[in-house]
Amino acid sequence: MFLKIVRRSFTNMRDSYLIYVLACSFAIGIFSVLLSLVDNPKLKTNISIWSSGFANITLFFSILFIFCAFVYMGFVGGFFIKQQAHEFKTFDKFGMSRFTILIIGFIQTMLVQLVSWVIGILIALIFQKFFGMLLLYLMGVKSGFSFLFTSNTFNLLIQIGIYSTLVFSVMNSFRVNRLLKDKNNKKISSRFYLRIPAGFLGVLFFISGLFVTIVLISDIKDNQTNQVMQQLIFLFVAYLLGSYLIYFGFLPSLLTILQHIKWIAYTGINVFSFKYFKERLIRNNSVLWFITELSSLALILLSICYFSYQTAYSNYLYAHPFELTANQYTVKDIKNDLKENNSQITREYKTTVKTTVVKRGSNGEIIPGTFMSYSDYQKLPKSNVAKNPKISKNQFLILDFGYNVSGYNFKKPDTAVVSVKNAKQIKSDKIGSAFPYGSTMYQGLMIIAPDNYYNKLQADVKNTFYGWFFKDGDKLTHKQFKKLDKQEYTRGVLIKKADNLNDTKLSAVHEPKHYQGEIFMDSNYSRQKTAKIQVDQISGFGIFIVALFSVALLIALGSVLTLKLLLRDDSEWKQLRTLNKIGVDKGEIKEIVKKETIYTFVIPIVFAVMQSYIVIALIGRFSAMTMIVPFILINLCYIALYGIIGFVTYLISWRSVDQKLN
Amino acid sequence: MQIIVKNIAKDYGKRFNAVHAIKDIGLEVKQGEFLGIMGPSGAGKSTLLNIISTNERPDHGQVLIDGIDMTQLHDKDQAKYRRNKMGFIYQNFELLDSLNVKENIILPMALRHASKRLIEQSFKHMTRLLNIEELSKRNVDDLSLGQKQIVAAARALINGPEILFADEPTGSLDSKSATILLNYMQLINDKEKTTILMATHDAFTASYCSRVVFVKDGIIFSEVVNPGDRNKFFEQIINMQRTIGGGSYFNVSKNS
Repeated sequence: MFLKIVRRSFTNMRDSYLIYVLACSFAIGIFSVLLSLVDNPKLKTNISIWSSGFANITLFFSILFIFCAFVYMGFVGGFFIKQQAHEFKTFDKFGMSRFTILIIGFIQTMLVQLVSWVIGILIALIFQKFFGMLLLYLMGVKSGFSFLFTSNTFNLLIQIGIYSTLVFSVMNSFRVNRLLKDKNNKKISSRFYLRIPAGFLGVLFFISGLFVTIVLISDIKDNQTNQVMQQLIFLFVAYLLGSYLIYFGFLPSLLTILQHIKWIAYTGINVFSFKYFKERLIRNNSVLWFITELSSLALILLSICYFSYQTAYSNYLYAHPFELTANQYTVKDIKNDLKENNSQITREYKTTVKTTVVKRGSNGEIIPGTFMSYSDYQKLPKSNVAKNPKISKNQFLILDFGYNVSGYNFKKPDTAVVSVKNAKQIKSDKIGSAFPYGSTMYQGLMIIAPDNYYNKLQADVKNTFYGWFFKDGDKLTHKQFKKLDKQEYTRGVLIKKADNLNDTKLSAVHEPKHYQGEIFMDSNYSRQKTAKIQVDQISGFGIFIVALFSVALLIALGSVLTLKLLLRDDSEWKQLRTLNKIGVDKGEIKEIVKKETIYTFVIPIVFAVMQSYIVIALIGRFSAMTMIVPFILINLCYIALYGIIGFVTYLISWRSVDQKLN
Repeated sequence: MQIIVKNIAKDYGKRFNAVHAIKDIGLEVKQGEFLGIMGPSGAGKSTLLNIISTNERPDHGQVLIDGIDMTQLHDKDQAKYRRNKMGFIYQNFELLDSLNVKENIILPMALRHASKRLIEQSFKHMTRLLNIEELSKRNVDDLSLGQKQIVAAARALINGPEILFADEPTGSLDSKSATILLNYMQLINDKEKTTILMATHDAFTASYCSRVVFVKDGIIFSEVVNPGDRNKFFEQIINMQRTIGGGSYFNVSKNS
């Protein structure tokens, strides 16, 4: 008997159960894959920092992931019990013992959870290799991935699966019990005496939030820290509370107003649909708000992650514009190594530079200044200096770390003033930060000077930079690289300050120990491949984790909306059937389903995009960074995926309505 | 509006579980006729009514209304026809819980995109006619069963339908409410010449009709025509019920 009732419930709500099981299985599958990757020997051997860093991060994210999945299961699992409220109450009226009804709720939940865990673990078993390969590919590790599911991982998964199934089943039994105790059929009250002022307050909060945001964005520099903090706290409250009150009060009130405007309401199906939408909105306003805020959070996190990846990649290019770079101290060894390895050089560059002492005009700091002539600068590869402003042969170009790096814009002055030892002061509005041989090759400022100025300049230290591009890489062996690595930061310059800039002395130093003065060490060589491996591994790992989390979050949020749309209660089904009976054709009912799907998906995403934009704009303003491009890209992807889920929801929703009407 | 039903049949379920709800029914209803359809529970009354009203499609056979074969119309056209020419009263009222009394009543007119002025006029006229003016702002859940059925009748009649379908309209009502509703239906039939098809198993309710057909096991078993005297007609209906052996299943009202 139990099984018959349970089977019928599954049949009646098969679409909804299928969506729930798939969403849970996906989450369990991803969790199982992440957990199994922690101990994978291939990852340990192929990625040097896997055991010391990535493994722990993966474990942390797998725990975070399953925690979020449990929140989802606990929350959404209750939808099905609520949907069967009428049925359970009927069993109760017929005299079925309460314990028996609780057992029905328990068995239903247990079966769904067990099926989800079995499918989830199967997904992990089938797709572990795929995800492992994907991770290695994203991290740029050229190695195969071997499938491994240790017995420890498997046992752990089984234990988590069984315990969580029992917890959720008991939880739902309690839900059934609470439903049965609640004898009154709670009809959702409109409470418009509360909703109208709440809606008004919500709009007020939201608009004032927008106003404060504009103020913050426009004159953030002039604001005091305390005042900014107060404004930020206000913004946080205004947007969170504002959007909730808009869902709670403003939208239902708006529909009520529309319903009372007779020339709109008394037209076609509007007389029904305004009230129907309003009831559904009131029923689901907390869920819609929750989804809005989570979507905002997801969009913000994704934009920041994508931006960080872009910045890391861009900075890596700034640091390593050539495949291999050397200076006069390391060139001999490197050339020997390249010759020994038969490395095929495709392009080779060499530039002489002069280093002297300069005083940065903005803060009066005395630092080394490395000068390159305009003619030499023009001979360098265009791609290396493309991001610097263009100069003519009589202009100066000041290169200082931090200016113009993609994404950053640290208080870039309009004009840079640089005092140079025993030379004419330089004033220039041409400021960049793309160092031609990479930013690690020298400390302080680099100045591209007109040939005339450069030739007259007295150098305290002279150096020559070399840069190479290769066909099929530099082919340096591990041993050669280790030998080269020992020379990193062994040479540099020492500044002995004096009262007068012209009396300040700068000299070359080698492995400094007890020098008096300020020392600036150079890296002496720069290898793109070494940095690239690290950047690729870190960014690849980041992309892997963020992509999994965002897809899972999207599926979870989408499925909550889908289930909320699909799980109509008896009265809502009856109303759609009645409409059809009295002459509303299926096309018009389909239109109601379509409109409901649209507003359910569109309103949260509009709010989410607005809120996340505001946060991104504020972060950008605070840190002087612009994240608009990644933000737009992430949003477009998110909206496209949401659109697909919305469209599929509409199809499923209409199919279920159509079946009921027939 | 003349209705001709030709050899319709309808089965529910599949293969071994198939139930023959209607086997082979032919019927003709004249314009302005008040036709009763009687029979025991499960005889096929509601199915016949649903097929004629285009809410269900027969497995075979034809339903001709004013010469139009309704079974050949597309769902959309059927819905349009229902909306414009038909009215419905159901035993379980089929009122929309979301809407209040006024909105329920005006719904068919709003669906026809009637002007606001006409909607208001018709609503006032209908509520005055059925004496439910004071109910207009109430929620459906707050009404008594009798009030709900009167509201359902108002909704069915506000469009001035040419055919009114009533499926056990008095099934949920007490005798007083049932009498009021039936008197209204008779009034509409007399004054507006609205064709009414009413399924019932109550002899008293059926006695308001001009003709009653008896359905048993999916076929028309017999029919009785009102001789002009309702008491006599009531007796004839009771006798017919006894004749077809369904007396024990029939609800013979003592309010005659």
